[in-house]
Amino acid sequence: MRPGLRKVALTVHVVASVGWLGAVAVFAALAAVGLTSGDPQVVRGVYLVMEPAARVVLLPLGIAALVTGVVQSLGTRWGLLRHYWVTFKLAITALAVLILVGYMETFRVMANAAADPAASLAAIRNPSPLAHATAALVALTAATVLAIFKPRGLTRYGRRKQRDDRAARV
Amino acid sequence: MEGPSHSDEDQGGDEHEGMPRWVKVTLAVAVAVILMLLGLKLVVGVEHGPSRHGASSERPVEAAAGVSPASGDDHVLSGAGLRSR
Repeated sequence: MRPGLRKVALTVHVVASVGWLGAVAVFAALAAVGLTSGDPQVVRGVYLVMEPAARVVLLPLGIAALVTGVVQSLGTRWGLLRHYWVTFKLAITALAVLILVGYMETFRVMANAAADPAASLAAIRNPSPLAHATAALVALTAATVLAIFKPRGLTRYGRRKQRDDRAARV
Repeated sequence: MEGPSHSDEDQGGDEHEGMPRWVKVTLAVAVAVILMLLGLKLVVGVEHGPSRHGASSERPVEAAAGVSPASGDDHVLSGAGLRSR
């Protein structure tokens, strides 16, 4: 990848990844408000707004972070499976996106419950979004730490590729 | 993401066979967390996913009969919005 293109791709990746982390933090705050607020309008509003916000912001940012991360890895010498930290980061991001895709149905069901005038607040409140958002915050922070510190360690595949590269240079 | 800058290659290569310690520790922690969550799910029986709400939203919690919900919620949603009883 050319340096200019690499920087553009890196910028998109950082914006998507950090934006995703920030969006998850907002979801954690919303989920906490939904669990603790005594105002019925606020509680219903929280669970109603989660579904469109997840569909329009959270999921696109997650997919963008995953896709741009893969492009970054494959477009540079880091590779996708050569370094443990890159592989771990890919696994964290892919798992988080998969869980989010599966959770979209939960957002829809929670929004339907919140829109149902016959449903009491006890039936609408759900600790699940807070638990998931907290876990996601931990996972995405770990991915960010990996990206910044880049701990050493080549995978078996990475060592083999390194030996091949050295042999080709000789 | 620029080229390797820590770098396994630039710093003489990572010739050690096997996994680095941080990878082993991370994997051990991940396995422990997964086992703990599975154990918690088995012991507590936490409902997960849409089913939790699928069941509750079908429940006629606050019917027109005027029976107060068990939670003690003091509000209903009328056609014009929320109102207090």
